[in-house]
Amino acid sequence: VIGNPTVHRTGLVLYVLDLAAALGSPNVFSSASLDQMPKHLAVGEMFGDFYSMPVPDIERCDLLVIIGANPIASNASMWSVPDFRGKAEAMRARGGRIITIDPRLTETSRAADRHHHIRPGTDALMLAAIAHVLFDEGLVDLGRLAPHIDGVAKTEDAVHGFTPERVANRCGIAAADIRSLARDLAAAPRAAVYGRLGTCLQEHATTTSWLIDVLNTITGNLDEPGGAMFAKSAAFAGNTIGRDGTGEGVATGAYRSRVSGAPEVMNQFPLACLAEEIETPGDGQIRGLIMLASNAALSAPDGPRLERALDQLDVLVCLDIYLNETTRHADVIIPGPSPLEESH
Amino acid sequence: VFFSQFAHRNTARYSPPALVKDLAVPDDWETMIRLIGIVTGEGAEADLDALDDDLTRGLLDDLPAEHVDAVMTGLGAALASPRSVRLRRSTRWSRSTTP
Repeated sequence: VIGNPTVHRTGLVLYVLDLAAALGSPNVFSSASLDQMPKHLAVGEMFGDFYSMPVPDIERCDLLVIIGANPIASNASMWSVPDFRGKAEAMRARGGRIITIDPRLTETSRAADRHHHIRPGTDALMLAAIAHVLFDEGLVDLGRLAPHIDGVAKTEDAVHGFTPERVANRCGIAAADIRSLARDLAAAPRAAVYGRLGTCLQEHATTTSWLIDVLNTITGNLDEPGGAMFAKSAAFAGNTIGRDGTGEGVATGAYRSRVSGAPEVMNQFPLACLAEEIETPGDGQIRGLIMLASNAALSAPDGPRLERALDQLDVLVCLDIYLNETTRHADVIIPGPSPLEESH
Repeated sequence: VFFSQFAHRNTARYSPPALVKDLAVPDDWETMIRLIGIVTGEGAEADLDALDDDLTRGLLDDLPAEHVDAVMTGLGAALASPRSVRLRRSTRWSRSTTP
């Protein structure tokens, strides 16, 4: 089990794949399935790499739509943007607008120009309706990327019928407001749609994540200044390796989890499947577990059930600097340096 | 390495540790290689540097065999301890981890 801090620590992240390969077990889990996995899958299918994730260019953006995210509290997630509050204030001071969509009135909503309360789990409907309006009213503009974009007609077909009037009651947002969102996105010289945790933790999360970048694409804001742009990592990133226009693409479902038959995505199963893999007898039952900086007993669904399952293991090894809900069940706790004793 | 792929600016920055580590606490890379040694049957007392060289060679699988030694020699200084900076082909979850 790979806990979130693993990817923040050089010594763990550089060896975690080696350890997984050495174990030779399909049973690899991480915090990603409690967080951003639907986004990985959506961008993987769209852009060919699980990590090629467009993020808003907030400093040049005219209209920023934030869905299921609270970057004033988080400094953004899957969008590293230090001092989000300062950048949001600067954006509005130069005439930019921020619209938030969330079931909850968040700190970010309070600092926005407009907030729409949405009924939980209905984001895909609202986004499909926005896309429908863009197609229906002839507002689609692919911009300079037009020669590189496949499937526009199929997308138009897919969202056809999702009129604002049809989804308004389900979403709890007035049809006129949904239409305005579409028209505003089309009219803004530079706009970006950003979704985060709330959009990833729901039944139709992958569709929702996909639709967010569909909107960025069909409004001509993908890979444009002030729109949703791709960061270029200094090294080792999918969009900086190899020649332009080449890449392996992504594949999922090469194998499935033993009990529920969940398909692997990024060589992992959902953390929600961990307890049943420990509890259910039979060939392939998990009898030993290594947890790297993970407090899954607190963060995974049904923590008490997972805690009981951890006690059934023959061996539980935790690499952690904390004694917590998870590590207190360990046979061995291996300490590491504190974050201040690590290079970054 | 992961997070610079979602950053609003393209940056590259290295920050050394702010505090000196207690020598009794193993570095993460040491623990990880030791765990790899244990699960592959090499045992808890396996030679960490030798195992790390093996892992690094594993990353060079895609190269023609005659080039691997040359790369390993070229990496000599970088591979010397401390090994917190290693050659990584990619941060992506590669198919090579598929059981």
